[in-house]
Amino acid sequence: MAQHKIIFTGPVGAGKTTAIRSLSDIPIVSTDEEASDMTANRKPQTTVAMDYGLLKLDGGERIHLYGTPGQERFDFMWDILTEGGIGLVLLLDNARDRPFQDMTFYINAFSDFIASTQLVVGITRMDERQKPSLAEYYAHMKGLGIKAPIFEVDARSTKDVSALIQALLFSLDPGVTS
Amino acid sequence: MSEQPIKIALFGMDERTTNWMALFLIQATKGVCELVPLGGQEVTVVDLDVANSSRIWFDLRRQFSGPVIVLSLHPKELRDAIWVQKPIKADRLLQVLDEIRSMLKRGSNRVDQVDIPAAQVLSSAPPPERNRAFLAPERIVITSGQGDRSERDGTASAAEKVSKAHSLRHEYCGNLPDEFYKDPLHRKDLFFDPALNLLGVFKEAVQRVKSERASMLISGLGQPLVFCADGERVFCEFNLNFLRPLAALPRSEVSIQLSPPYLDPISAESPADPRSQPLDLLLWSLALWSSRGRVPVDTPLDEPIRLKRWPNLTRLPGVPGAMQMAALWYKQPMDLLTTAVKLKLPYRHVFSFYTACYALNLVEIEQIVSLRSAESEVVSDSPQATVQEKAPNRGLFARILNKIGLG
Repeated sequence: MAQHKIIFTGPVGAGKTTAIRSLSDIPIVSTDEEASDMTANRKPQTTVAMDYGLLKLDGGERIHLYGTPGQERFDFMWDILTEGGIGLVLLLDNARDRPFQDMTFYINAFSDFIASTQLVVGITRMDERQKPSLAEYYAHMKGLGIKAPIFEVDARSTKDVSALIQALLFSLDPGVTS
Repeated sequence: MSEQPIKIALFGMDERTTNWMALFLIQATKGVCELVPLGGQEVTVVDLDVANSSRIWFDLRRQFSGPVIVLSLHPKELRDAIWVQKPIKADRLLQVLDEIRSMLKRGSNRVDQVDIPAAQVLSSAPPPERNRAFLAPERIVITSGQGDRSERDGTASAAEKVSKAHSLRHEYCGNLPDEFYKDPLHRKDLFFDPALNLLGVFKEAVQRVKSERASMLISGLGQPLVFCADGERVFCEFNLNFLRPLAALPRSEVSIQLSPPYLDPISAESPADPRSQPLDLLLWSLALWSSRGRVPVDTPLDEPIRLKRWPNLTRLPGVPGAMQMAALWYKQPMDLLTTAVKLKLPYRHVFSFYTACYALNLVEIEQIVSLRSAESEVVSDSPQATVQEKAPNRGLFARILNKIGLG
């Protein structure tokens, strides 16, 4: 049976684990640990290896949902994780100090994967901090030579996370219908 | 040849009245009409001799734009409605149904004008614009109310039919049939002039906020509406849905004024205040209510549309197929008519979505882009973005979309 995967990435606290939990048909397998470094300022626990969730499709097909660890020191895993992936969901925390820097980092880190698949960006915590605006994110992303949908999302909302996946798939093939 | 029964739905009646009316219609009209759930009807029957009748009428018109038979003891002056006096007489009802059948036939593929004796058709307002589904003083314009079969499954309950999806299709996208869009004779019906209605006023307010870097007040709506100086939010005391019926009226019929506010509302700068709303939400909603399947005048129908950036579809009212259209226009500009064909969407959904994007300044005509600059060329398009007839993963993607409940 064919196996497929969608990758979720982004900085610590952006909502990757929560987003996967919103979509997954199984209780997510998480590798959260007590944060002991500067990460603890953002959330008490952080993902040290990866998160794993699953979408079970009719006919037995499975879509694996992988969340990358938020900490940059685990970036050696990312190439392995993305192999054979359908696309990349980048979650950015608008309440962080330098969200543009985060965007640049993750787009560069996954540039090969994005070039061969598709990126979609979700901005979380825009209710806490309105700036940068989506228009400013688009402008920044354009400077990086990337075109991708960007939405304001709440990672706890299945509807919002589903919208990200929908945008990802339609960007890959606008002609697809359910 | 026997004719199909007219599909009738009853609205705003209690259970007892509904049962009584159902019995009367079946026995008195002898197969001329049949009762269907709300959403699948061609004609609605409403009793307005009840408490909150104005509210009932308002709710009905939010959901249904076709012909209505109004039952009342006294004459009712309502748009697109035929008044039938109580006590209802079978002959009179049959006569009205016969007239409606003629209208539906003539309007089955197009909006048409049908002469109705003035005694039967009562108008309260002059037509906001020509060729639209509104009453003229001595004439009535009725749309067939026919949607796609997929939009009229007729199986859902009334409550379900008053669902968001129904609203999205009909309130935001109108009910112009696809034939209109293919027929050059109906080309003029596909356009409206935003400058002549509320959308034009609001766009003007946005421009003035931008140029004067100051808040702008819109008065005359009952409650003040302030466009905040930051150019991103509006401040209003009312629910934005209040503007829905006003969106269809010509500017001349809404006595509104645009001016600097006497006092800058302090709360306007606080997004946490429930009276503070995103400007994009206001413009997007108003554009959809104004559009109803049409695009602004002078929009070229045969030139490719490019989406400069995606609308924030997680926070804006959706249009069916919005994700597909956004994905297409963002990476592969395409004209409006071809878009509908390629994506297998009703034309009115494409036109409405374009108008909403236009209101937020998210779209541009590809020809203009190529003449203006080559800056967008630095951004590489993904080769997967084209509408391929047989994309490799289409089946898989469709199954994922089915799984997540969208698409």
